[in-house]
Amino acid sequence: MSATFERGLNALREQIDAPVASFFTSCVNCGLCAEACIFYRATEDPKYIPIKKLDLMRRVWSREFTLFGWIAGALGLVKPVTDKDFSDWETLVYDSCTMCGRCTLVCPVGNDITMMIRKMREGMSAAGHAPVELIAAAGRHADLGSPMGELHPALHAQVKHAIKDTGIEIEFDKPGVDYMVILSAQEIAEFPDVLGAMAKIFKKAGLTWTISNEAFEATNVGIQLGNRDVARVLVQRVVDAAEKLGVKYVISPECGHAYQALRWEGPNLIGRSYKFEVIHIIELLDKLRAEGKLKTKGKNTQKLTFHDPCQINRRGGINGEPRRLMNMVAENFVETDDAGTMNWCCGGGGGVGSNERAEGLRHAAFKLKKIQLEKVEPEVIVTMCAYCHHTLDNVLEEFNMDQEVMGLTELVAEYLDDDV
Amino acid sequence: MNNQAFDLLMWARGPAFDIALMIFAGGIVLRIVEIFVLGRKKDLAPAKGNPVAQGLKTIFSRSVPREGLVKFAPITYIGGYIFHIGFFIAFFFFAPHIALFTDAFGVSWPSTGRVIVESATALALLALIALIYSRFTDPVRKALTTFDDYLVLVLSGLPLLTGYIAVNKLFGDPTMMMAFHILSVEALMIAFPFTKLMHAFSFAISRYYNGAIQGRKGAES
Ligand code: SF4
Ligand code: SF4
Repeated sequence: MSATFERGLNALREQIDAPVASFFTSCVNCGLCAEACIFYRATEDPKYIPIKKLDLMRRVWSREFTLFGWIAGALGLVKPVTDKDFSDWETLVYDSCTMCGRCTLVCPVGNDITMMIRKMREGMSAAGHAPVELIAAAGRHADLGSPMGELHPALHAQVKHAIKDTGIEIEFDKPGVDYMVILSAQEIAEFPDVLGAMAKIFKKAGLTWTISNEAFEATNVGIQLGNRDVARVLVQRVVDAAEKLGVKYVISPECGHAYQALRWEGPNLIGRSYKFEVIHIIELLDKLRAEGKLKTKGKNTQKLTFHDPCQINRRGGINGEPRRLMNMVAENFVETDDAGTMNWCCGGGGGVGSNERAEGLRHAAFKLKKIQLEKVEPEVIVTMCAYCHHTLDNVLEEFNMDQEVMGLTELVAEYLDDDV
Repeated sequence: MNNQAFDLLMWARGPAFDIALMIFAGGIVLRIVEIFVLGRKKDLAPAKGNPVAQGLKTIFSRSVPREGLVKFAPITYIGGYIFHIGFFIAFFFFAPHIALFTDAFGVSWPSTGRVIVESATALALLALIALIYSRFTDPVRKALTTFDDYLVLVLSGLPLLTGYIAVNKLFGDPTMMMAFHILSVEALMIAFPFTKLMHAFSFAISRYYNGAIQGRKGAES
């Protein structure tokens, strides 16, 4: 028995709390969670039944946290969990789950399967059974500041570019402002136009804001990998920078798991509440709209649809906001089937997108999204997560589909009313 | 009257019932305690929605399937509904059963007619057969099924079947059948805390948590 295996088992034990116990106690093996899961539905392979991905955790719970299981274990009637079990479960827990949360919404007894997958990953990574890409990204993030490595030069170049484009000054490390902007690595590297878009919108609305050189990156590979220590360090970095600057708000960018990490897990990771509020960029834009500080002129006439990022809508609670903004700037906004809370995942979430081994499965899983898109045939897919954007761009190309993907903040900025 | 049958009936109604009730009640308390002793860390993220209200709401709202899903597992959904509703009617609205509750707790409520109770029983039994069938044939159900699942299906069916036979005096000695009926209920009670039958109580806890976790974030459940 290696030390790593012991650590994994301990990490798993630590994750078992009253909700988990109630979920395993309640499961009736009905299999209805399967029908909600992108991976089961795309492949129809029963090994992808959501609750089955948790079998290992269920065994630990049953054997160690129930009296009957404990007795059965002591009598040698049930097999103990071994390191081999951890390695057998690795692909199920990391490659075939984007932590999209659909299963959680259909289970008749109310099991939050997604939350348990998140918890199980804590045990898996502590046992040393996690995808190499996520482990490497965690290392880069801790040492170099982002999962993509050192992004300072890129950020500064993009900011310069945005200043030139918009003529609006963007200042780093400015204390006393109300808002601190953080970006996802994907935005800095691939979709930097969002910077200019925010600059324009914020100027019109009269917001004061800055970017911190100490913490400008929002993603958090710790929660995809399932490593609370990594996740805590990354959240702490943002919290320290924001509290040092004394801002009132940190704006969570168009990135699904970053919102999950900073808004919902963060205070629990660092063990205290923040001295600022976290607001998602789309929540902020909708708030500005409601206050009359966001005025647009004209509308986009293309056929647009909206892709809900799982971590922001289903797992994050932001559903009406993007729709109100879409209606403000789109003349021909068409919703897909299952849009909103039950939208289908892009297939790249939960670390699946950066996991090379999972590529085949990820492409297979696009089937559900494809069906949604083919029915509506939009010209442009608007979304509010740069990683969904990235995943959709790639997979659309793979399937020779010629839709354009775009971020909602950028779309709104295009229709800003310059006269007011 | 057959003495043997009468003795069995008396034993089933007396000592056997007391033992079964003890295991049933004690076991359920144990299993519920096992859940709550594990506790739950206080969530420090400021709430966007109301977790308590949504948790309570979800206890009820999750009884309704999400739109569009029934067609993917019709036997499980429809069979499940018919079984649960049928069992509920037969158990709680059959006049002799209500009389038992009145004896024990002094409470009573209106019963439904024989026809309804018997139809409910028959439908629940048919639904059970369909559910067993789907566990043998449907790949998802098959992959999940364990001995526990079959045991629970059979144990839930026996009281319905024996009750139906005893009340209608279909065959066998009616006293003996009544004894079997009561014994089958006791078997169900004894198995209850050890099997997934526990969901009949714990579903409220798990649905509450689900709703509370989602509700805190202002997300749907
Ligand atoms: S839907 Fe819920 S109760 Fe049914 S098998 Fe999945 S987790 Fe268990
Ligand atoms: S969270 Fe999504 S991908 Fe993961 S098991 Fe549930 S439905 Fe499947």
